[in-house]
Amino acid sequence: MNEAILTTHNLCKRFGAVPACSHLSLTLTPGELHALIGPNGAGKTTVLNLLSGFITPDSGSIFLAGRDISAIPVHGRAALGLARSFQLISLFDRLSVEENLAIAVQARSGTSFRFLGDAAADRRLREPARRVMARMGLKGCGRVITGSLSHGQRRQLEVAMALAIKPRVLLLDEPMAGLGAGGSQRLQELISTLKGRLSILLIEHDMTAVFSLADRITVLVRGEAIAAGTPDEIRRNPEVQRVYLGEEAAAC
Amino acid sequence: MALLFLLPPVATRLGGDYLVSLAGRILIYGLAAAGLDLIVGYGGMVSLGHAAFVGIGAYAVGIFSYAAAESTTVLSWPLTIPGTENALFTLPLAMGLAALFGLVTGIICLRTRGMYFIMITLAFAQMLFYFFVSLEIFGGSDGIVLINRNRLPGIDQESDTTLYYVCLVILLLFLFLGGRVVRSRFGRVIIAGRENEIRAQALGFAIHRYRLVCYVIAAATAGLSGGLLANHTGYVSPDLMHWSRSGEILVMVLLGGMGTLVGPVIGAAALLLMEEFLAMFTEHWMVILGPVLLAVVLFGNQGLYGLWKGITEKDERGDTDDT
Amino acid sequence: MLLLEQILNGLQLGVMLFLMAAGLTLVFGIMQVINLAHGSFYMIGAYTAATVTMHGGSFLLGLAVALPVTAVLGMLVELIILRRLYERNHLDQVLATFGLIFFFNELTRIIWGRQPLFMDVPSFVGGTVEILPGVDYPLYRLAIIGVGILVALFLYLLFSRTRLGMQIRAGAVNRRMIGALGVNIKLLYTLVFGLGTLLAGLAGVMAGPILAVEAGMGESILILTFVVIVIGGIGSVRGALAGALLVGLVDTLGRAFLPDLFRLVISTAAADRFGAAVASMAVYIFMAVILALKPRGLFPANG
Repeated sequence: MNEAILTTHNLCKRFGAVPACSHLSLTLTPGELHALIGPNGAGKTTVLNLLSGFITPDSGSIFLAGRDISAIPVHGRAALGLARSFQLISLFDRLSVEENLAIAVQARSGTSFRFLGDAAADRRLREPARRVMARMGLKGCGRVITGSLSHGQRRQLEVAMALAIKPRVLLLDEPMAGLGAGGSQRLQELISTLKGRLSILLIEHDMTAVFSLADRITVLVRGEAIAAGTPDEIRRNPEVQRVYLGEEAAAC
Repeated sequence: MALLFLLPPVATRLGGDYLVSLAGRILIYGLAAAGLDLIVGYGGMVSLGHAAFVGIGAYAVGIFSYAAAESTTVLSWPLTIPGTENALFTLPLAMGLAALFGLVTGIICLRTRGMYFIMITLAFAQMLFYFFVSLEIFGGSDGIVLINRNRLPGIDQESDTTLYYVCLVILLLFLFLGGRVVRSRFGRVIIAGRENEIRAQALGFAIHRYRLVCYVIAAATAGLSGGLLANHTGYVSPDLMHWSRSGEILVMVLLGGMGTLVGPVIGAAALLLMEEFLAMFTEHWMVILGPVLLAVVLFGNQGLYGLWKGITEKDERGDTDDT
Repeated sequence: MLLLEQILNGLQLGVMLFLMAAGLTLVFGIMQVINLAHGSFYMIGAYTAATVTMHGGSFLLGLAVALPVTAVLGMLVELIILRRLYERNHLDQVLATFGLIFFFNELTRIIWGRQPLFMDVPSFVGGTVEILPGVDYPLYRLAIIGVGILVALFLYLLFSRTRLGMQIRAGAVNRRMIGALGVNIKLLYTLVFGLGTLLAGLAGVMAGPILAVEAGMGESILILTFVVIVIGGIGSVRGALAGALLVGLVDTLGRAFLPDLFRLVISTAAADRFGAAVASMAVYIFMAVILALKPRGLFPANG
């Protein structure tokens, strides 16, 4: 059993009277793709926000590669290799695609307290940026202003940004939302190539993608993990079927 | 560019010392405004307290120069600090003290966002204003009069023309260095923080640290301009730090075009010239300036520099981007 | 006793600040607009009342005229100018309202000249009152404190008992939501703004007899108002009350007693020089301390 790369111990968060996250103990092993599913409002994005540091938990702790990161702010966790994509796409809309990625590359390229030197012309930033662009299917879009990209391309860039900082753990929040069948397929393929090299925590509503990609799945309902296991185990779990998969199947 | 260097001789022939003096003032405020642009235009933080740094720089120069001229000391306790009129000492001092104030207040202010930040920067500047008004030893609300201008080795400081050239060189130096900083990795982070702070944090940047450095740089620049201003007018008073001054500098940034460094200098020229021009017609020129400002804000957006660039770059459109 | 007197002075300043801050914090919180011109309405209230009393009207008449004038003027400004600023960034809002200040201040100088106007303390609250044996305190200032209590009570009832009040409170917490709930946002904004300017005008009228009525008077109290809002938390009237009283007390007591305290610790010469100066900074240092602990104020609306 590999030592887990990301674990939470008893993570709890309430918003007023609403328990968004109750005693969540989650483990992510290196190289695995762990999916987090559950009905809307189950608290999945809250978990991601807690993990990445945008929200502080009421109690519980988070460990990244054995290190307690509970008190480390957002940027610190990112610097330690924890990257995320956002459900609501969050990019530098007024900058070009290449500029967006170059900034991401810059984040993990040593100190940015450099006051001379032209960052826009720096090949050590541009080349990795271009490589990520190519990998994400955004080749040729370098000069395009991000705000004018299509939704599908913005989704791709959203994931690309997280990849560009060369993380150890990738938190993906509904990366396929709003993508058509083709886009979803491409993203799925890409994510499957990442498996093994990165550890991924994936929130998705697209069940086909989830079941084909995930090594393990945790089901979240009203902030509580009601089941966790392999895709097969989850598929067969009557509790899960009742609460969640039944609804999803009906909706599909 | 050459125009700027030729200005004094031309101006003196046209309008005498007055125009050269005005031009000098434009350069000085242009420097302060360009510094503010780093925070506002590139950093996206609206600071209403920039005049405080100008004032600190001015007072630094004023206090030390006065002490030197009067052969007294700046401080007798706990240690003796004599005055000096040497510009090579007073101007860096102006920058340093302003930077220090910027550091201390920056640490506090930058923990806040948006409206809080605006109000706190304003409050700190006004605090300094009241502080200097109550400080009788530095002249209180009457301020300090400089006997002589600061000396630069080998240069005659008393001439307005010389001062003009000194200011010009300093401003150009700042625009050059500032331009480099803005294009550097540091500049990218500042801009990223402005464009999408959440995304920048999520990438791993401790934005507040970069902002603090940016804030201090801007403060030092303003301090330098304050030191130059003290030399220019020969007079230092708390009014320099009044929040209406901060507002004026902010207006210059907006008027000229933020996020360009050069724009604010143009804005400084525009505002000061407009004030002079309007003042010729009525002593109540502010009643016109107010609505003009309103109109500019509501209907204009690019600033004068942006406008000019738009016109001159019309020919360049139509180029296709290479991939 | 000097301490009691200064405490009362502090409360009186606090009341003025509360009147200024209550409306303004709502404008900040609900409309998300930073309005620098709020002080202008304080000034307009003072000038209107002063003009009325100068022409033979009573103080109460002055008050009765000044309040509607500032409220209506405020709503007009909201309709014509502020509306366009709601969606703009803070820099635009700052500069636009800055332009308004220039305009109003200069307009005031044009109409009334540069000499300050003076208002007499109205006779029915004139003179002093013996609050403790041997301690006299101006009745007028006590009246101001009384007005403050009444206004606080009024606002409390408004917010907790009326629909309008509820809408305002909801708006301060989440303005998009109230739009979705079918509230007439535009009207609400105009009313909130009008309420704010009315209170500012009231503060101005009451300040008339104590301070000089002159152009630019609004700005000095506005800075302190900002400090109040920052300490109290944007969007929170409760915070405005707490902040106002705190700021009023800290500033007044600081100015009154810090120089003496200084003299105890340091030699007289230095103390005299720096004591008064430091006292003038007391409020801001206080603000810095509060912010260090609570960057969003004591009672932020959507905290």
